[in-house]
Amino acid sequence: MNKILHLVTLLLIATPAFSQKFEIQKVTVADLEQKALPADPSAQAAILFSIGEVNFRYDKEKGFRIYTTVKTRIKIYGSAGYEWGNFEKNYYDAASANRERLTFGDACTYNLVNGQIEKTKLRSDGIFDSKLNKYWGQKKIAMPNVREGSIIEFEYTLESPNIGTLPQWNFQDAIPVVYSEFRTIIPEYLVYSHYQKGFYTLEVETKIGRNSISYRQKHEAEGVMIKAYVEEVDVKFSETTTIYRAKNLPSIKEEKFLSSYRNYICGISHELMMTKFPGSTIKSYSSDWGDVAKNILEDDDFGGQLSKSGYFEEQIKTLTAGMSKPQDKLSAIFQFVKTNVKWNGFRNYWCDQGVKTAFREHSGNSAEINLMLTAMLRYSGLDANPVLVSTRSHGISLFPAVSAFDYVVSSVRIDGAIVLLDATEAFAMPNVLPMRALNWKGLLVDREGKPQDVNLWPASPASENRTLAYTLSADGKIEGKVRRQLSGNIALDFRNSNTARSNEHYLETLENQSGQIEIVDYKRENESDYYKDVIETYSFSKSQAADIVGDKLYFSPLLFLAATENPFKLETRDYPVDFGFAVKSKHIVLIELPEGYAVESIPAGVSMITDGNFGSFKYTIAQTGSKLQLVVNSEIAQPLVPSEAYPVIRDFYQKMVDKQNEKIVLKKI
Amino acid sequence: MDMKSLLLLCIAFFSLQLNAQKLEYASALIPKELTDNANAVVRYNEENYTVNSQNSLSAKVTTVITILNEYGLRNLNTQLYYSPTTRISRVEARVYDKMGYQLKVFKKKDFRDVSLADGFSVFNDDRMLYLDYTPIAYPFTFVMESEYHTSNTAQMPRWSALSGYFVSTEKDVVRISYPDGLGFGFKEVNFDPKFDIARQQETGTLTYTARNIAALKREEGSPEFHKMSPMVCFRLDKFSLEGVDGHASDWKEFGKWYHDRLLSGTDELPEETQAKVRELIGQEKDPIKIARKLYQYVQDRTRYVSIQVGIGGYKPMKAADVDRLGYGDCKALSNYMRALLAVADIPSYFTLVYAGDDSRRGLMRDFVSPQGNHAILAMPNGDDYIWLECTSQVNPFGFQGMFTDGREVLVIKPEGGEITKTRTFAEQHNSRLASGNFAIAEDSGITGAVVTRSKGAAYDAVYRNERLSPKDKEKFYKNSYANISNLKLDKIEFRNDREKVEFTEAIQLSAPAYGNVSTGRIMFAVNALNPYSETPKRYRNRQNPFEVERGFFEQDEIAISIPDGFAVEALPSDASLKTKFGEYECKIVKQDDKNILYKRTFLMKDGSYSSAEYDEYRQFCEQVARFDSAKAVIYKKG
Repeated sequence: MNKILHLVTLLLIATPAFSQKFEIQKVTVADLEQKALPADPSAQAAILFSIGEVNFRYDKEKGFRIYTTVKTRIKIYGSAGYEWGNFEKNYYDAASANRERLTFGDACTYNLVNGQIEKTKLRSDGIFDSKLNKYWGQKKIAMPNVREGSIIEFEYTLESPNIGTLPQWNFQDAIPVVYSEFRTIIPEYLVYSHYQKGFYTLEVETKIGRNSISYRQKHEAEGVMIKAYVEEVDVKFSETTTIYRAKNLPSIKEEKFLSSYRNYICGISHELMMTKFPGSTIKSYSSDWGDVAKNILEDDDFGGQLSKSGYFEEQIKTLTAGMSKPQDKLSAIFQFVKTNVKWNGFRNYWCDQGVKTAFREHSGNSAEINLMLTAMLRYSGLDANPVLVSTRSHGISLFPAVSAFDYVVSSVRIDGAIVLLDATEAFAMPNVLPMRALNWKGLLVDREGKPQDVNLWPASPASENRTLAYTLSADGKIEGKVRRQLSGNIALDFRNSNTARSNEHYLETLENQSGQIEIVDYKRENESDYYKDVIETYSFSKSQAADIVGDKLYFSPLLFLAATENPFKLETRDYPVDFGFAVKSKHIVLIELPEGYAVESIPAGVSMITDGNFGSFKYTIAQTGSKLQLVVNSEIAQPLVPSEAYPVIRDFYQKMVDKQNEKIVLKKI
Repeated sequence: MDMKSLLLLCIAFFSLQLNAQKLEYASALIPKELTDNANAVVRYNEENYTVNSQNSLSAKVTTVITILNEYGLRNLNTQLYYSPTTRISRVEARVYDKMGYQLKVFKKKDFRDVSLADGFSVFNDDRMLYLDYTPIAYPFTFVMESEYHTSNTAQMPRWSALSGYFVSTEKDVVRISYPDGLGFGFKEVNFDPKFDIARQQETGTLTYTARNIAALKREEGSPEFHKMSPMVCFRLDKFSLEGVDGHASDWKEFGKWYHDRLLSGTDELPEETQAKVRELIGQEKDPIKIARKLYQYVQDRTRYVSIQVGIGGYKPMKAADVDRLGYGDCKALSNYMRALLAVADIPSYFTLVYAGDDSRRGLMRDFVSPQGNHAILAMPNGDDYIWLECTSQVNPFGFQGMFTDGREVLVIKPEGGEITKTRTFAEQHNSRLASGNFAIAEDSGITGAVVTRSKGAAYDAVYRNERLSPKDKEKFYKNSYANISNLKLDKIEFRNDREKVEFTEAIQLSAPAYGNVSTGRIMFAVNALNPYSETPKRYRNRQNPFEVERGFFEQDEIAISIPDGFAVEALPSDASLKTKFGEYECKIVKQDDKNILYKRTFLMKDGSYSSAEYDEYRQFCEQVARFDSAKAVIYKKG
């Protein structure tokens, strides 16, 4: 860091105030009397305001430090909102230079008592500090006298030496937010890039002001001519104040088929792009994906690990001896890593213990396993590269930053096409990544550090094909056979959940999920041959499978293959529907009708494709004598459906469900 | 031989030692009857406890477990808890492959040290050492040895011969030695003769050895694991609890100790609050009416916040602090309520209980020791008690719901403790009574309205719906009427009568298509608004007994109308079932050409049954589900 800054102690002067659009008002009787939030009367609590300010101060010993001060006021409407009367914040507390300091400032609860405002302050007995583990501490506050109608207010300051990223600010929360403001005051020496996510527009105000810094410089005595003295020096530099404001944001919660609500929560992040201290050269960090890739590749815990090969060379040489086809090498090495190194459950793209240790100990995190895999593939002469990924729970990586990722997989280019590999998953196949990694796009980083966007979704849809052949008797009993064939992510899920399970346990579950049929002669093929589809076959029977009303028999021809409920029950949805991967399914049903009965009515055939080609469904049925043949094709063609198309998807599912449950009516002759 | 070769030889020898084989750990040696239904097998477990004095207990535990598959991994317990009163002096773990070759050794420094702050408690000083181990292949055998010391002797360790569902035990030994004069006692729980467990008792030592205990299967409707799995509990008359010494040989003495050492002096309230209480009471004399007012006062002014530190895990926070802060945990809030009632000279007693909706668990009547995980308040009412749950802001006065009903609790009076049972709702009182109507349209659409009144446990299941967001309400009722697809909820209204403890839901609904239409006919299930569909799971080979812990009673009376120009072709026949599990009856009466009246009652009884009765029970439920899905057919005339 810069010399001058090291020599002097800087005293940053408070930022010049400029006209604010939002002023914190005193809590009024009317505020306390309010019974419900007009914008969302069902809200049990609401954030009336939350204002965060990020400021920098210079410390002679420690350099620049970030001070983040957050002041929050919350209204409690109902007792189900009482949990908002407690607040917790974690802070980095490892014995290192990166240790953070968290302090709580003024905090109090306002209540209306006999028409008067009563203010109860939080005392030290309401602040609890605990050490979570080696790295993290946590402070919690429990606000006093929280009741229905209370307003609570608290403030905390987090002091952090980590100038690489500014604390992320979320304008939205699990309860409605009336006003949220985030203010950054950044000296000219530091340049941050910022990225905003969510569906709401923020109001932004920027002010670049020249600001003065006073510092004291001590001059040593020089011979006899000049005595030692202290000089007050003013240095002018500019700092940028940026204010982001958002008003009236609704609450955000988890929903079905949503990868992570974090993807959609309205928020802003900042990442250090460059430093330009006076008298020193500009140092650039991540400003675009190229920088990110380069920075990650240059890091010892990534690039350094990727370039190691001594620990495996002998074994890989032996393993691939005599192999010439890239596909053979790929399969052998992929299987070798999956068998020999198990995933310890930790997600990261940095190595923790390092590839060598992971190889020796037979276990490692996602980086150790997939970087090792990449290195081995490269060693065998393949064009292999790591692909950085942000997992579904981490959100989508749109913003060029090293923190945009939390995972890494491997890739091989064969004949111009990219094959994706993730060896953390014992049952994984090439080009089928586990669900956690199926989050839109990854960033491939080649040997030179050149980045390339890679689509993570499987190239072909997962498929589920079933053939069902059964005989229906006049007493409503059915007997028949099922063949089921699974591929892609569906096969992966199947293997993950059933391989270790005992046959009896599996069959009990299958029987109960299939309308309590009874299963015999169960067989499973290719369970451990991951390159082939999983196939299961069995015979089944069930009595009283048809409704007998008078001289008629009613039954749903798809039996237990029919979906019984539309998963999309709500009328509207604010977020995209994220299926994770595309699915194609085909059901063929062959039915032998009972003697003495004739078909009175059968469902009509139907064929539909949704607007926007999100899905398609085709239902055809034909009768030949006492036999019926039914073919049902359905496809979800796109893994991600935008929220605007929610009504389309909801309607599509409803029509599918309705059709699948339509009945055949047989009449006695 | 030069130095280098010698060194190499030494290394070779040394690594041979390190990779020593423990043949007895080989997984192939496990008897087959122990691997059936098992994901893991405890090969050998040895627990040695030494009671040194009233406030000193040392423990040495060795566990050798073979994990057979990835499901068994959850039974690999690498956690050790400690606190200011419990110190771990030694821990070591070793891993062996399926042949018994040693793969890895872990020392104490390899264990992670974390706080047990759980997001539930605001503060908690319990901590845990644990090991992250990623298995390389299955099966593998894991050995863990630990030693610890605790000054807490009030809650002595418990020995279980089975460590969970789907885990067998090959051999399991517990040995406890104790000095004279501390009043050592023990209790055997679930000692079914089918378990091979031997007891050996000598002066000052007690040993149990369990052999070849086959895994229990988890099955729907089974009693809780702790009601089936063999276990021995230990206790001392003279004990120490988080630094507080105690002496009790019966519940009376225990209660007196608890009252004198942990409760007394915690119930003082500031004069100002006392005055407020008196003002609130006014001229009211009826203790129940006064208690209602004070209960409401506590509900309005406090909230539940858990703080578990040291003796604070047992001793309530002072009532004056609760008064000032407006929060506390179950002990603090129950004690606060007790203090408020005392201002009105109404006696009430602090009560310990095991809380939980899923399964009732009572205190062990004949085993005097600190038990329970929750506190409530008992207010005498004639020969009985009114039970007050003080952590809820919405619970009606005197209503326990499913959280603390029907189980043994310890009522702590100044003169001593007393075990009693809380109130149980009989099936008939867990009722849902519905009346309403629906109309089928020409296109098989449905419009209907139904009013349902819920009481008892049924009240507990729905009364919180009042506070759901519109979206969650929609979700809830769309799931309740999942049998009607494309459902639209036109109106949802509630009435919560907290005094009578009765919750009324008035629902108006519609859907574009309810029945199946074919050639001028509509077929539809007559019971559109309350079909029973939860048929119990079918087992190929049911092993465990089962219980219906809370029976219920349902009554429905629904008027059905069919569209103009249509006539009834077929109606389901009336049905009635009477079994030891419950009773069911439905009547479908054609009132005129257009109107049908549907009447139904369904009583599910409480009960405990053997595994042999399970299929019969399942068939009963299945029959009810079948009757409830019975269809009517109507056709277009002319």
